[in-house]
Amino acid sequence: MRVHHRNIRFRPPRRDYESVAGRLALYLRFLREYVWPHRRLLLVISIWWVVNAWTPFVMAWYGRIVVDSILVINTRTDAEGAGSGGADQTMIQQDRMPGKPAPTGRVGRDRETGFSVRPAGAMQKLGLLFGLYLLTLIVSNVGSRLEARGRIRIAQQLTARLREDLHRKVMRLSLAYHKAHAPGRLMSRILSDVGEVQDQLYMTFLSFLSSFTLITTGLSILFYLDWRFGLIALLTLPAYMFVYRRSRKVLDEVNAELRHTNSWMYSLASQKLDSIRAIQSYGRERHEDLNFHRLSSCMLRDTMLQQHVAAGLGTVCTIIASIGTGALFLYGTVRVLDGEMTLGTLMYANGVAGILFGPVIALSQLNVTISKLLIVLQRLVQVLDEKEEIAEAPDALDFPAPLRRGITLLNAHFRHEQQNEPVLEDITLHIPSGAWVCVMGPSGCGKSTLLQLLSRLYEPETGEILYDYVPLNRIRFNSLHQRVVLVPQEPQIFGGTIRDNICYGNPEATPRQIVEAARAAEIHDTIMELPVKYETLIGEKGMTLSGGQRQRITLARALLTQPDVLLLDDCMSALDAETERRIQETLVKNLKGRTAVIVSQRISMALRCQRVCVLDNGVLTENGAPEELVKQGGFFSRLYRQQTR
Amino acid sequence: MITSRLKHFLPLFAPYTGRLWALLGLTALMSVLAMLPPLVIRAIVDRVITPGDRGPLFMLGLVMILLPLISAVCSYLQTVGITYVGQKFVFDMRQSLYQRLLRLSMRFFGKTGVGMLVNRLMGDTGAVQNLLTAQTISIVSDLVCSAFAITATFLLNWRLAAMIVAIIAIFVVNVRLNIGFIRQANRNYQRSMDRLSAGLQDRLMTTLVVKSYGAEAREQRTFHSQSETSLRQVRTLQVANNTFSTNTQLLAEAGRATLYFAGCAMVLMNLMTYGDVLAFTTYSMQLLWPAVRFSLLVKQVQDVGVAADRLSELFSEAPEIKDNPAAITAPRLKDVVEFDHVSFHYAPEKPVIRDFSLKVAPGQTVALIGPTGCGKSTLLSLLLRFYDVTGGTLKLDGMDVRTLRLRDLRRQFGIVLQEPQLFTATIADNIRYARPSATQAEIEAASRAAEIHEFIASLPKGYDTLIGVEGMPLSTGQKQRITIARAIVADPAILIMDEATSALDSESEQAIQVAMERILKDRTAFIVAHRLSTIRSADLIVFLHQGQVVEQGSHDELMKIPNGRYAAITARFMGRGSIKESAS
Repeated sequence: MRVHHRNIRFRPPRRDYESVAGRLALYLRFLREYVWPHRRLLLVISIWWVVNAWTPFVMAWYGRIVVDSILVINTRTDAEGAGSGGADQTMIQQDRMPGKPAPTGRVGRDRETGFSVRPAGAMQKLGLLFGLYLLTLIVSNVGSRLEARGRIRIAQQLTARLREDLHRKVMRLSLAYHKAHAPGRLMSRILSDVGEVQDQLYMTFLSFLSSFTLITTGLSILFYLDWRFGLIALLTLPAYMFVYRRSRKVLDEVNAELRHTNSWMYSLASQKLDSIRAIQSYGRERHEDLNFHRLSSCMLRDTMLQQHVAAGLGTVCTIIASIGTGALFLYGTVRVLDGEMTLGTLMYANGVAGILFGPVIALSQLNVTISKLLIVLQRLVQVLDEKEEIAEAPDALDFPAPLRRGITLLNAHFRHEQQNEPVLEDITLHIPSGAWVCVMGPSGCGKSTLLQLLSRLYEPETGEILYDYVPLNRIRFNSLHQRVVLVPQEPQIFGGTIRDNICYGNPEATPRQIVEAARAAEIHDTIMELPVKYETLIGEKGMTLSGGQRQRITLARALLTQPDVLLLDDCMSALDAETERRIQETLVKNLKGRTAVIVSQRISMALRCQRVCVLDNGVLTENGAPEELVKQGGFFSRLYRQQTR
Repeated sequence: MITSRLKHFLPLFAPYTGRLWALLGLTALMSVLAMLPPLVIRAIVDRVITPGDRGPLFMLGLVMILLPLISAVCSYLQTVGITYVGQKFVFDMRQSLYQRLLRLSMRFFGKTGVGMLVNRLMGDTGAVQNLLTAQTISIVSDLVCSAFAITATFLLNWRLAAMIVAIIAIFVVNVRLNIGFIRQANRNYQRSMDRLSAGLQDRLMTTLVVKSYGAEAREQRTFHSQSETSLRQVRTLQVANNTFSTNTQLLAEAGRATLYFAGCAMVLMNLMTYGDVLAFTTYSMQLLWPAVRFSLLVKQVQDVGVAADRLSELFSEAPEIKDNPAAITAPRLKDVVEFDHVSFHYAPEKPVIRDFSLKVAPGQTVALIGPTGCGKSTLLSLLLRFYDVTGGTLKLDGMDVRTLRLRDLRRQFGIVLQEPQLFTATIADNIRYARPSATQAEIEAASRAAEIHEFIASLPKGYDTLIGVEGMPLSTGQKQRITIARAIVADPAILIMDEATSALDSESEQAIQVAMERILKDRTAFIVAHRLSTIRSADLIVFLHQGQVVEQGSHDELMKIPNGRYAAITARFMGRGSIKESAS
């Protein structure tokens, strides 16, 4: 196989997380966690699969009875005279000695003489057998139907659990993880990867069981009929083994690459379509076509490679199987001609051999299915086993509400994983309860990070953050997030109505409270101009909002929760000066006595705060009342002069 | 019905017509080969075993082993061939859809979610491909098999053949009875799946809010209920599918048994030989299985029909804004940008821009100001022709923008948007996005002008640092400065900045402004800003309110207007007086 070059733009190389040895453990782990709870029903289903695996042999056996006991067709041997011998006798003989030749020779329609001898009551027996055949068929069919219902139920419950576990995990993972993983790729794991797993986890087991039963039963029957039949069938097995082993490695590799490419294609497409404005305005459509083309071609080549190997495997298997069956039939024919076997037995052996090779091919496909499944499981495990960087302490306390002493940061250090440069260095700061603190500084100096540390979206590398002297990492998430609310810099709007978006933090809010919050955020009037007011759909499928409108809705969302501590991350940057001024005034009125940490670029905001902190490159350089800082001649006083010039 | 649905897809097969014919030929050959083994077995039973004649056994045995060998090789070729055509087809389809999507207008993206588009692009295309390639081949193979089997069965025994026809009729009834229900179940399932994935996408895009409100548990419940609904739908669908397929299977098996036993009865009545019965039963399977497959196919067509409909919809979405057939190439802007009584609305009852006229001399910087939602961003979109004006004309150098080639028109602009859009790529690639031929020196110069060079240089990998979704996290201010550098590298005739410096602190903004002044010198620029320090230095300030110009002129001129709105806002914003007053 020619291996092509896969490291193209927008497709970083795949990383392997699991060694080959760990694969069985991985499979067993999923079995234990997700399949084991359904063991009772699965046991019943497995028993059914084993039982049902015998039906084809029963069916074939009916055929043998028809040929040997009802139609009584046999080879003509020259030693026998035409039409001699009683049919009844033949039948009895055959029944007693299966596999032995009927010495009475040819019974049935003779081509040369047109003379035929049939056992008495053959028609009735044929009818009876037909009835039995149909009965077996119906029992098997009804059983399969019931069994399928059970299987579907297990599959659904299993999918639901797996999906929810993934979702829960994803929701718990830190912001750093979400920053590093594109939503498209996580989605493809939660939805399409889980979809692939569905019933595969135990279907592999069931189909193995059924194939195994078919093969062992078939082989036993063949050996019983004639040990040479059994030997022929058995000889083909090593050939199969050899073929699987050779293809397995390539298939595993290609499948992993395929899924990797697939997830990157999702990621690329969603990213580019998201930034369509930038693409169109720079007229770079053709360039983007090419990017997509590269990734798409990589996928095409891998799919072809995969099909080459898989189809090759299938072909070789079919060839081996048909040589086996052919040899068996021909050998049987010779035996019949020698008068050492009845035609019915031959037909039976042929039928059994046909059934036998089917499951062997199915087993070879099982190999492919399992390797696909394992890759999916690996991808799921990567998410499920991701370390939760920020977890709730087992002995966590409630948030100390109302906040009396304030917030304290002690030597807090922070850096992003990928970067060596610390974002925040040795921040020590006390924010008294009820105070407003304005955080300022050049962009990229760590202001947003500071707020995210305060709401525990990130955790400081070293140092501590205390609320009323209670360490932040010992406060329960739920109570923390009800009391400390962050309004992010880039407003995030959900698909849903405006009302849903505003009461996100407080779903039980009354309409009056909602309106009040919207008024305080200066968005009420805008909303009232819309045809369905608060019920207007916004978000991906709804009305498009301007940046300022989005910011005001997120502000209203925060105000509605009535937090003890409000963290505003430059959340009014897209508003015009006039609106911002009005909001500032309402905030002053509404948030009297509450603690607020506000990131802002505007001197007008800073002047409303009791204290201003200036960060420069992650270091706290200025800290004091705005009146004092303006005299110090630092960053703040320069800013003051620029903006009030 | 099917063909009308597929009219968007069939032309995509054109390049592979030759291969497809070859594949079909191969399939026909395989089908014929598949029909031969029953004849061989029949011959062995009737010619060798019954008369006890060993003569033909060797030849027949050879044929019996060789036939499957040839079939297997053909089947390998067929699989690889189908995969090739199918994958090429889906590849072409995706590419052409992607290319179309990239060229659709902003109005389309305003109303269609990206998550949904990605699903169409990746999922639905695959489904359609599968139907059109793999299924077409199997249809052909089935048709050939059926034709062969029908002829053979009628030749063997017309009574039994008539019976087969009756059984096939029952198949048709089975399909009719089940298909409606399955279709409905499938539709419900698709709908619930769409809801689930839309909700999930929303949540993943807004993790920050979910986390900062501690709403994980609530989101988990929402997800749980959506997932439950969708799974219930899947269950209904799967049970329906299963009922249908077990019915079909039962019919096929029972049909075969009936034929076999009826055949045996005829042997008893001396109407045919046992070899005939064997061949007949095998052939009946060749006839009944296609019937089964056909009925399954109907179901698949249903599934794929939904996907195909959605794709056709996207394919027939014409770009609203496209080149006029007689579009002319636009040289670099030398003269005036003119808004001539421009009006614009998204919906007729809600005008966004009303009778807006403005002439901008070359090199002028225009600041657009006004309350949130007054139409500033819309005006900029009109300039770039993301939308077409609904009244009046917009002229560049006296030429209506609609007569210019879109590519040339947009090349005139460098834009910096409110929400910076960066890609997963290195910083250098992001900066040279608009002009990939830019040299490293040019990139660095632009970064210096955008006040971001020092930061980039301080990174361990410098300009080769990977940013974007899976790369290094940047602050909004840093992202914005990178987009500014990108606009500078583009070297545009007109610069558009929409709130470009909102996330920058005043100090960096001040620094950028110095650099900007240099860059803006011989360029026309449109700037939307809320900060007076940014606005003040503009040559022309346009105060918009509800899509109309209220005041326009330079800072000094506007300040002189008695009771002017600009003057009032400036006074209120600046007139905070001393620190003491406002701090209290």
